[in-house]
Amino acid sequence: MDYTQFDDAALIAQIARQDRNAFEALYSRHAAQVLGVVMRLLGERSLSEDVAQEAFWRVWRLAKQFDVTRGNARAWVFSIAHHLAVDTLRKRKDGKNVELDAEDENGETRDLPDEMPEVLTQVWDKISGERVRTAIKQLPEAQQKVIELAYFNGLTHKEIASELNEALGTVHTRARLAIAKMRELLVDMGAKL
Amino acid sequence: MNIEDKITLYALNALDADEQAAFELELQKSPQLRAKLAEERAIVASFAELAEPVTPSSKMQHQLMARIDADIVSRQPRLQTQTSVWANITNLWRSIAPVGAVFASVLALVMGIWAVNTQRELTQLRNEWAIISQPGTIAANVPPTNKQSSARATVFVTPGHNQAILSVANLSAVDTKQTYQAWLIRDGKPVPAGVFNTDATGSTQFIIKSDVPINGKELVGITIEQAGGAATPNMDKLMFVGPLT
Repeated sequence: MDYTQFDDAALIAQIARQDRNAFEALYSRHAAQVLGVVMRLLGERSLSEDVAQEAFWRVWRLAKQFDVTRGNARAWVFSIAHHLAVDTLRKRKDGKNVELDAEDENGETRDLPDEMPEVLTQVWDKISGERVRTAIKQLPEAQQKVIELAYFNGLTHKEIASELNEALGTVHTRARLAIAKMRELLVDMGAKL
Repeated sequence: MNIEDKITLYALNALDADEQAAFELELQKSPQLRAKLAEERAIVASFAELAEPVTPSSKMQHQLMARIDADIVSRQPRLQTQTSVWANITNLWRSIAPVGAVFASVLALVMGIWAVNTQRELTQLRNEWAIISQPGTIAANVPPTNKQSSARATVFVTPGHNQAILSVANLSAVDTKQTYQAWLIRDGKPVPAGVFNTDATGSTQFIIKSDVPINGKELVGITIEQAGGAATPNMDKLMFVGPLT
């Protein structure tokens, strides 16, 4: 079977049936980008590979709970990787043991696939990295900064407020407006929303 | 903080741990909230495109696929075994039902044994699962000393832990006076790591236990010994030997 023709949701449906080849295809497609995100947060190569590996392991384990008609497969994979990386970053910052806990029940709850309105399904599979970069550059600089500090520095909203010396409400507003604006920009670029 | 703020900040993983836990309770109660969060997460996921891709090492892929393989292996044979046990019980019931109540007690006994065996299998499965689900677990194929042999041995180990799983296949049957024995070899010194026997197909999974954490620098060996095992390996009957990493 030629899995290169499968979209992410179809691959995850196969993975739910314990299809090793489908998993390898999903890994080949996204591993470099997932590791890129994790390394941007953690820096350290070895730890980042552990986190990325754990993210894919959770995809394998939780795939059967993914509803292909209502889930955004790509968003799910990156969401798992991002939150694992952020959790690891915060543990490291707090001086806690950063060993990944495979039985982390809270983590698993957070990793369960989302149920999206159908209109949104598969949208982001069609958006190139270049389009996202173009879109984010159109955000006001202050909003870009909040996104950067949250997504790539793993800061909480309180830490962002402290870092920028701004009121919490200001940070909240900027984050919310940034997401809304990104949505709008991506729609303008052809995303079917 | 209003609900829209919470959704956005949760999607960005930017809430404090306490706030996050509280919001997850709200999420559980509200499908509308979950749908809204899904939209936000999809947009947030697009930020991943801003990171430069980094090609993972072959070691990362190897480790991950070893975990996947171990997961597949750990499920399949046991399902077949349980199905087979159930089929046997069904056949047994068909044959004894006409005889009546006397044989019902036999069936109860069989069911009791089956339950005990199943419980043992589940316990073993849990123990094996605890080992292979550790991050950083690696799979080492230990080569047979006879290169023509189709026998295979794989060790799943997480360096720093005291247990590993040895999975073997296609081993020859040994007579009842003999047993297979696993060895961990540290700095050239073999340490007994347990005895095991295989099923009719020459396969089994076996948990190797070590008094000290396994650091991945050990060699693994498998020999055939007298039943009960030996304190030192019979090198004439060395069937497998190789490094853990």
